[in-house]
Amino acid sequence: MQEDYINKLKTILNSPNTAEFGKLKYLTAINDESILSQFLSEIYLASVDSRSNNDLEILNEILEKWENKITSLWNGPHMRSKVQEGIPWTPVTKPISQSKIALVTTGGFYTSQQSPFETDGPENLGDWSYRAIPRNIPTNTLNVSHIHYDISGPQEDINCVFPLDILSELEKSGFIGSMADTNYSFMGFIQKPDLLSETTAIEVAAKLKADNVDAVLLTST
Amino acid sequence: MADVIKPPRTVHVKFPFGRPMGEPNNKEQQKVITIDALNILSSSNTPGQITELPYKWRREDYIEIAKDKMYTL
Repeated sequence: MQEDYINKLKTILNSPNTAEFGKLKYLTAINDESILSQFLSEIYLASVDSRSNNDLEILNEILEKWENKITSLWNGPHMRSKVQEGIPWTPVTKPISQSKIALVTTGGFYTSQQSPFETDGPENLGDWSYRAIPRNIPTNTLNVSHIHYDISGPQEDINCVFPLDILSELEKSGFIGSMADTNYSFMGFIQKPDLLSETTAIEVAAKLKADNVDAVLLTST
Repeated sequence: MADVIKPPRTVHVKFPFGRPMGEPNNKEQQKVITIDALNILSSSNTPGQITELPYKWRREDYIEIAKDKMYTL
């Protein structure tokens, strides 16, 4: 009976795989009827409250509160990673205006000369390979292969995930010393993150070091 | 996720998944977020620090924010 009720609630909460539902969609991974019912109740009350006060912010705040709660309850692959002892730390020793900055992303981007990522990969483990993205590539020629987030944003403008053009402009304005000649894309659906941390992440780190990169801005989706 | 993985420095924005740097074609927003992140890189002295940016999705004027922060867009 309870299972039926939970399944009915999940049917109600089924949502399109668009950016707006990107965090809320994980409600359907929660098998706790009290949490699902509480969400529906709070959204209902906030909707009416929002209307009666003519204040959309009331509903926005409830939605944001639940996005935080849902993502903290999510038992994703990051919970299955080995956690290193301590926190890796290298102090910044020169101003950003004298630093070479590289971009690394998990957004799943590749050039027309490269092969796409395997979005689910063998045995549904994902794909922990990477693509080297040269800085001078026209960003509107980059492709994206990822099925676990709404890619319509970067398909329209890659800078909303992988800000290559933005970093190039910051180099021209002198805010950063220089942009790395090669930046890197991974694809974030990796069900055993240690496969990444013990292989391809080490390769990319070595390449960045060989390129004398001072710091990396890593964007996730 | 940053609480579990413990990267050296994390900047968090309450934006939808798939738009961490902002809306498509909103160059002012993307630039403000990028500059904020790079400023935190240079100012952060606490390993594992997670900095929450205050911006609300689609409810900010990034030209005004950049003016207040004296960022060159």
